[in-house]
Amino acid sequence: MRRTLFILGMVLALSRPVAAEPELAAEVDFDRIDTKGHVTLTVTVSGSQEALRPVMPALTDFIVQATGSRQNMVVSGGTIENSTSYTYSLIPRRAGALVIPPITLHTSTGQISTQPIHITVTEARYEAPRNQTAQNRTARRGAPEPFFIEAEVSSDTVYLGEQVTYTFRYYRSAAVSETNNYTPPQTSGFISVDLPPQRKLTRIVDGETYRVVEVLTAMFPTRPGDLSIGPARLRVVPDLISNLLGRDPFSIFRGQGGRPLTEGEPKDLATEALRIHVRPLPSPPAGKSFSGAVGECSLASDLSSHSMSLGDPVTLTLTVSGKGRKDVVDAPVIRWPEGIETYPPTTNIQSTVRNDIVAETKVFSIALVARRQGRVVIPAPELTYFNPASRRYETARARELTLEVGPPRAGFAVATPTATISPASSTIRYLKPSPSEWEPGPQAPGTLFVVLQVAPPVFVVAGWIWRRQRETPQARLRGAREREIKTARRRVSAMSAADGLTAAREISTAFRQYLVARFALPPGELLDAEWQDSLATKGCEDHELREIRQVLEWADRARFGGGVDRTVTPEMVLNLMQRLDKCAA
Amino acid sequence: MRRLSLLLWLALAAPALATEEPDRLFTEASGHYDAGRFVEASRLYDSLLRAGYKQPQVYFNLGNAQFRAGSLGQAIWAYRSAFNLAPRDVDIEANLTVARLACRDKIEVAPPGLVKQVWRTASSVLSVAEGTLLVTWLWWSLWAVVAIAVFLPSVRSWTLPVIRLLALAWLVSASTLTVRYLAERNTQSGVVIAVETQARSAPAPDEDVAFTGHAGMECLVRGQRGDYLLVELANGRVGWIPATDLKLVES
Repeated sequence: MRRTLFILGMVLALSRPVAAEPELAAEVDFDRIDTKGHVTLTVTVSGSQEALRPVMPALTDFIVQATGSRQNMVVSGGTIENSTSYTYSLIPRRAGALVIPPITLHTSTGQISTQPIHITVTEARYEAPRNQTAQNRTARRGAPEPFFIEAEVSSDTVYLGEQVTYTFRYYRSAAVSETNNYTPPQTSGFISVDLPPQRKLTRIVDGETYRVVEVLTAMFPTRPGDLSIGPARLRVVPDLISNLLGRDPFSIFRGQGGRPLTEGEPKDLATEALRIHVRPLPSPPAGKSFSGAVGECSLASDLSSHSMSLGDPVTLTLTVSGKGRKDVVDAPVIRWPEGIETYPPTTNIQSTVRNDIVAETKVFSIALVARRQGRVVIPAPELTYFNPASRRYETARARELTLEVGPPRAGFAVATPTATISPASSTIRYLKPSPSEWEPGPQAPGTLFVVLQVAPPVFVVAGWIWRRQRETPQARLRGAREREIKTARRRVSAMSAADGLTAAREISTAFRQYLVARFALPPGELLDAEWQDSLATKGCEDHELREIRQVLEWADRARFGGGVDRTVTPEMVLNLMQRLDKCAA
Repeated sequence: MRRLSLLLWLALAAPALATEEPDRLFTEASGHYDAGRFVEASRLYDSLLRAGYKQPQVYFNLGNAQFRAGSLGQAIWAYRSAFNLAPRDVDIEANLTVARLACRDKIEVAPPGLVKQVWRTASSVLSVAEGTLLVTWLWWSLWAVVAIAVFLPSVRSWTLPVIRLLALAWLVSASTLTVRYLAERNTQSGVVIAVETQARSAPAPDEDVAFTGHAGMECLVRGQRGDYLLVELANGRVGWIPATDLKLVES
């Protein structure tokens, strides 16, 4: 403090007063409010060394309450500028375009005036809450607090499905740097609908002027009994720069806890939980079918066309509108005349908010097809709803409608007239007969299923292996013989008659090899008697035996006699081999 | 000897008795239906299902009885279950369409793409049971022809193309069945059977309401926690609803 006074003294010593003409300014914080609102008028006199006080005009449209004055001193460029601000709280007496007339300041040289200020005042948009329940003003202890919040409901006792309006208000008389941590209340047993936008108001509480932000929510109880609305929470961070006056000006340099130096200690505000008693709806009157609507309702009906051809469709539109939620409303009751076929309705819902009351419109579109010609009268539709205001069931009625049904259009097939078709029951197809076989339902794939899938490949592979193992010795022998025969044939075909003795020797060896392999004869030297008997038993003809003998003798002559004649050629031997193949087969 | 005769009689008569009882219940239920006693009819059809006779005719008739009794959610559930077992039954499809028209919740969904549409149509021509039978039949046929090719090499000229054709058919049908089976195992369909239910943002009664559904609303079940089921609507909205408000469709 001592250091502050020292700095202030130095500033004053180095400065010199400025002699200038006084100036007058007037401003309001809002130029548009409602009848429950309030504006703050600030009149500032600056540039005067004297204590001049502005003269306020007669403000007949307002209740005026002076809320104080404040002197400001600004040191700038070695000069001191003084100003004095007078603040007034103005509460409008009526709605309309109100005017604050010029404010006058008498000076030594004359007088100066401000311009008139225009303020638009509207009627308060929300209804006065019934049985209003004032709730917690958190952190209010004795002296006025710069910030507090409160929550209230429009009524603490409502009927099931009736709207209760929850109002959250945030009051502040000092600047804040951050208020974005609003936590709405936890609700159980309600369907909530936001009622935007937020409203900004000015209110005087215990002589202190507060700027108020108001958030409204419509809540519709979905079950009877005592329901609760949890606390709403808000974190507020004061702005030290804006709140500097009246505080230690150097405290802003002492930032704490890592916060910016301009921010103060955050404040966590919370309202108390609220309790709502929800009454169950009374029993509907006998003979009336309750539609499910709670709140005033109106019902309108219309047809897309009042004349139609037989068999053509026409759309009947039933519009249910009024306060409260209408999405739960059932279609109005109509006693359909004979000769009208109806189809299940399609619905469309629109919501609006009027004076903080949720109002919904539900439109039922029902397709109709006339099955007889002539005038058809659709009786007035009815809708029974519960009106919480009168605490009884009421019935809304739409007008009766008339439909002229003409003859069918050319080429249009018309079904035989049918009785009235109820959309909910008669259009389904009839029962099915008893199943021919009663069996348990489909089972999950079990062991049998897996066995069925695995069995075929296992059987096939097992059979192939068994067959292969069983046939191996015979197949191996047969394969060896086939290879011998192929080799012999290749050796013979590789020779020509011109090769002489070499050819004779090669053909002799190859032909013997062929005979052993083809006829499964014992290996080694073949004796005439041996191979002749053997070949005869295997089906060779005599001429074939002679040719075989001829070839073998020719070969022996060539091998042992040293001379080669041309009586046997490789082609002849190959031809003989082919015939012997057939013989062996 | 007398005991042996009794055992023999029981063995022969048991299948007949097993058929008589469901037939009697079915006929009795249909009689209740014709007389306008839809609740009694529903009870008897339901007892058949609980006894294990999960046949499309029983589901269909149960759907009719529930529909006429005013239980729209139960009716749509029964029709859906019947349709899963007999996907080509036009009566089931017709009644399911009518029941859906009566449902209060109209959920707008963008039409699926061509590929998705073709896949849905192809995979839903047969029920899972029918698809399993087809795959099994193709599998046995394939191996029968393979056996012929192995043991009768002389007829390999015609067996090889048949083997290729059967192998391709088996591969396509088995893949389709497997994908469908896995899809149905991971996501079950459900139908809201309560008159009105509130889907919440978390599985607790005091959480915010995400959306409100009514009897007959169809959804996919994505999970369960405690007494709540996580459901997804056709338009992608998700929420937790009490398990007692929903009935899972039989597949």
